[in-house]
Amino acid sequence: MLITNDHTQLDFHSSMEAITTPFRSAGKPIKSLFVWLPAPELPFSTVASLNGTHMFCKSQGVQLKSTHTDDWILVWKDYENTVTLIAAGKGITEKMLWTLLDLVFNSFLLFVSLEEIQIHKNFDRIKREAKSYMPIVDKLLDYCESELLGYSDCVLANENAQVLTRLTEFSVQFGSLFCAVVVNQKLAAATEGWWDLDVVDRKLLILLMSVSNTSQKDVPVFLPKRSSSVAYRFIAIPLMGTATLCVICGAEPAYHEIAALAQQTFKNDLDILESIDRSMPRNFPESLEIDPNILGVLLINKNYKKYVISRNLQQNSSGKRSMSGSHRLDILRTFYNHAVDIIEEFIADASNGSSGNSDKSAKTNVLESYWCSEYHKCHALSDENDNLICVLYVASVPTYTMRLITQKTLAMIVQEKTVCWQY
Amino acid sequence: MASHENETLLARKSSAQTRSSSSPEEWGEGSSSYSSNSSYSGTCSDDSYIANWENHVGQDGTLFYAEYSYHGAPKISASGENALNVMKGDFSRASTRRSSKKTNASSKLSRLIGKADPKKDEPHRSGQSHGAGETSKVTFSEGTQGEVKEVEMFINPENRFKYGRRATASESMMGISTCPFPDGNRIMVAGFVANSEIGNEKSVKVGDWFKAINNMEITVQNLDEVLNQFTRPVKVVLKFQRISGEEQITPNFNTIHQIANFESYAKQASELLVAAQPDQRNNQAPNEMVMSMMILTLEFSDADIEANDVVFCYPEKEENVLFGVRGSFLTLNSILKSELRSEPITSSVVSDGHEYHICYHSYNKILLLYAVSSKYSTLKELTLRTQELVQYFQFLYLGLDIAFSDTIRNEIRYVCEILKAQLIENRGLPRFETILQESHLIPLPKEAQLRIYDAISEMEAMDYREWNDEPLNSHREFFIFGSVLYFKSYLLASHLPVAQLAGLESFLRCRGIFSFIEKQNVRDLVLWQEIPMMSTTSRFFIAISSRNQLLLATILQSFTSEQRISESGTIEEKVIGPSLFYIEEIQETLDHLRHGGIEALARVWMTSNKRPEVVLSPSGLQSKNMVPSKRTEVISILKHRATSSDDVRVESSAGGSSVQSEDSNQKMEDCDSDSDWDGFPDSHKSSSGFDMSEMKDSFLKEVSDIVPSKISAGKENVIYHYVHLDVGTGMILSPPEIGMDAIVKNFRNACYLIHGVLQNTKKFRRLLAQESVKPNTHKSLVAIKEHGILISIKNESGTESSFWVVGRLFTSPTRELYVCHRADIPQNLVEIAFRLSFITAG
Repeated sequence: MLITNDHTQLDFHSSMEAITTPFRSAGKPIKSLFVWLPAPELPFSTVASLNGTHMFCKSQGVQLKSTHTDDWILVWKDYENTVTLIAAGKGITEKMLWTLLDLVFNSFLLFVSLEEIQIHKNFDRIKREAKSYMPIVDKLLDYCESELLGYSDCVLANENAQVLTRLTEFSVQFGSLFCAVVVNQKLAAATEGWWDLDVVDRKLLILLMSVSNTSQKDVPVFLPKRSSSVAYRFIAIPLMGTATLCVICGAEPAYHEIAALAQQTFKNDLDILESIDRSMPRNFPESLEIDPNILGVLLINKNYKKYVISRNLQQNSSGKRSMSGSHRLDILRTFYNHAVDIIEEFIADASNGSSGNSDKSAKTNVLESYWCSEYHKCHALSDENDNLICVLYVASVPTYTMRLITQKTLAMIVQEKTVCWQY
Repeated sequence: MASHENETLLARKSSAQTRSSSSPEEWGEGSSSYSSNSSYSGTCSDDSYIANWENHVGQDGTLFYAEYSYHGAPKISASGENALNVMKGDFSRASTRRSSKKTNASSKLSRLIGKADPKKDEPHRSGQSHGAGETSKVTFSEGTQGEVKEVEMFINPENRFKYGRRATASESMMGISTCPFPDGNRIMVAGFVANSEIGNEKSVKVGDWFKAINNMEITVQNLDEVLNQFTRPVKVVLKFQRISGEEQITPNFNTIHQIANFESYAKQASELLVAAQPDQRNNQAPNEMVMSMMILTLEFSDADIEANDVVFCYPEKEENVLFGVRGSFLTLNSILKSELRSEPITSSVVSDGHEYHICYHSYNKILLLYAVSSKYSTLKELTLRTQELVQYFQFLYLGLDIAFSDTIRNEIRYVCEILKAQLIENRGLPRFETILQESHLIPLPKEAQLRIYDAISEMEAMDYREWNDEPLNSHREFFIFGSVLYFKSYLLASHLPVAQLAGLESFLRCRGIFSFIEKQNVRDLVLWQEIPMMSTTSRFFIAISSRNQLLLATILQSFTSEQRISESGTIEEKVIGPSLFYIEEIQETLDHLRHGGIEALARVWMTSNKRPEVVLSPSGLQSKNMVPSKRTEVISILKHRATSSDDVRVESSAGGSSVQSEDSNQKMEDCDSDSDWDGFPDSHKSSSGFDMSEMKDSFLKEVSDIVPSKISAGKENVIYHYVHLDVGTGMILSPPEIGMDAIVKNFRNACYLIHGVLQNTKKFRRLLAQESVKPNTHKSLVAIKEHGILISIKNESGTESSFWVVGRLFTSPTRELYVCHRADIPQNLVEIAFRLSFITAG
């Protein structure tokens, strides 16, 4: 699979190519499936060579993992010794590419059981299901830039608490542990069971919902991480506007019964859902007073693997150097991906892992991190409750006051009960 | 040369009883006592004057010669005491030259040596004594009993400067060279100046106690004073006493090893370049490869011949797990370049459960692949290491797009051995500032810097016409393009353009010479090699000489591009081998600097942690992961500081017959004032009136008295570490010899990340500058000028400490500054740390 981050609209259904290449290694033939998504910068021949390189290395007992160039990063990964995915990206980190590849492979597993790939090496099945998963893969490529792939996208609204109460009610009545209310593809509330799912499952289910062209959905899916061999039903019930109820359940009951129950439960709360929908581009309750120096906030909970990203609309964007809202979010995400995410791993790895003989008892943590550029400043801070907040500031804020403002902002959000951030 | 001198010394010592020191013919007696390879000729007539390295010059004119003893000896040898021994040894050399000049003044070589034996205002010297050289097996007896002899002689103060800058007052006035007895008080006769009056006197022998002049008791302390009282020629009575006591001083000496060429050096790399005690870090998995280097050619015509695309491969293909898949890298290299239009930099592969990082560097038709196991180097480190390697190839071969001969292949293979040894040695230790391309500068005190620059300038000028009364007939062979002085791996002074400095630095690093002089007791190291530089009119050579831990590297330029037609009809350039005269001159300068105490000063200065001071280890953070050997070394040097400076002080007053020793303190204060020159009889000759030797004493005293400066404001010092990287001048400022504790480790790791981000910014700015490129294509290339990370470490006892690592990028001129400071302080106090760049002098 070849993925670039600056591809535009491509018709994947018509142009996807799947090639099965038999290779021999020590007498045993290796069959592998190679899926290619055309991109303007990488013609088929190039991608075929990239694949060939990997196959050749494999036949020699060497596993090619990644290659960095001036501005590109290429990664190769074998899944179950059957499927090889190749991704190439520009301006993103290697870690993001690995996450992407995992998500892409797991999106296959929504429709094809792991057994079929592992044991039967059923390539035809994978190819046949392409229709189902290709839209998800397509979306994933988009999300590569506009979302944090390893986390569930959430919305912070004052109404979240009410929705959660209602949802728990529904969950008990209906008898499914896995329920969530999604507004405009962002989670407003979800049951404990839903949060218990692996983030990959959660992410893919929401994606599956969003790519479908009907708002009602009732599809059998495997849960790649939780249940890769037994299929469940994934049901999406539109409640109000973009608000949707997602449920995972067994074969019973019929869709219309569930829909009726859902409408029944939420019938008094439609205005709440609507107001959540209205708060959308901001993703942040109006009631929370944010420092005027703040341009945007990215809040992550590492325990639940969820995040909220918001730009502060109070900041009036006058003046020459102000940036557009989406650009602000881009900067925040870039900051997170390039400065926060990698650092933690790198520092922890380097001080605890690779040095071999060194201190295993000493624990190294990265608590804060900041960037100052000519146009803005970013500051990230983590607390002991697995919360991590990244804040984008105007360039004029003094570096040392950033800490104070960030600490204040984080405390404010975490303490606000109605947004249900801290369960 | 030191060994040569020690040989001489040895010869003298062994023949001391027969009193043969003034007759050169007899010096050869003991010459091969420690080394059968020794090339000392034994006759010492000037035409056959051969340095210890001269037999080891390669056919292509290259030279790699070293003498060293292992550092693992029980005594702390690399520090003061040993330095002292070497200094003592060196002295004899100076007198050798003098005597050879005098004896055979007619020969051409002697003229050269005569030039090198400058008659300038360098009257004071300290380390002129013939003490128990470390190779000497002679034991000196001392005691107060013994036959007393009186000798009458005529002394003439006007001879004071006749014998050149190296001669002491007692040498030039009486013809006696002296050294202190081990009690540090009494003076021993260490030798005689050739053809001197006293030298012909049979009753006085080397080893005698020099008791008195005109019944004035003389001691180490007052010798100079007494001699300086004589202002006009006068007859004096010298009193000597034969020593009969049975106190024996057996000098502690280590076996001297000799390396005659680069090959044998590289083959021993794994022993030479590591610290004395082996540790268990180096247990290497059986099927693991530490590193690999492959040089592949992109154009190979005959596909039938196996592996004809491989120009060079290390290790051999059977052991090289990457050999089989080299084709993949070639393919990747070509498709990425042609299709994505971007150069591949690194790849990662896994083989047999071991991960390897591979770095690419392509020249025109050549692809260099440098692979290191991920256990030995991170990806970011490897990129820096590769840059270093590329720099090295550029410096030595002008890139790898060359015709590969077996010589070059072997040379690269040896370099691989060395790189491998260094990788194993440094496993798991992040080395941020030590593997950046830039040189690590130690700014010594201003006075010392002035003196270093002065000595180097003088050497570079090679203005020997003024040193010698005889007119010169011969043209000079070389011009000195520039020179650099290092202490261990730290730069003390550079007279080279940045590009050549970087090249030279990479040469010294890739050949492991820094580790070598740091880890072993290097008595002598001489290197000579031709290097290509972009010039049609002249040829360039590097000449490197090292004594102990001080290293002086010089690039020489020769305008004679003589060509000759070889037998096969092709034009070949004449091989220009090492020039004895120039190498001696470099060694001479090096010795001069060492006598002046620069080495001792650098050592003390570096461990003193005063300018600016950093907090070494915060309480509760003394974790186990610091390298024990490193730490003990620092401690031992610190401990040794007291002793070494004592020794030095004794020395300087023992031999130094300084005309104006009283002035030395005053001189220290105003070294530029005119008064400095007044005392010198012929000061007009001198471009450098500075006297290194008497500085030594005050330098060392001063270091211990110096008030530490800190770079953060406020009462407490909060700076743990800093790195100041100046791209323009190619230099790094950073606290040297810092122990590898948890903070430094994390600091360095964090620096890799920050460095990466700042490099991105630089790239972004370049893109912005090019108007053709739309800057918005890279969203992640936001122009970051500062990046800070707060790290907390919790150690086993549960104590937690946290610190900031902040990196900042400055433009015009481009500089990067990394500071590690305590977390719980307001940032405005640290702001001052960013002014580090102003501190270029200690």
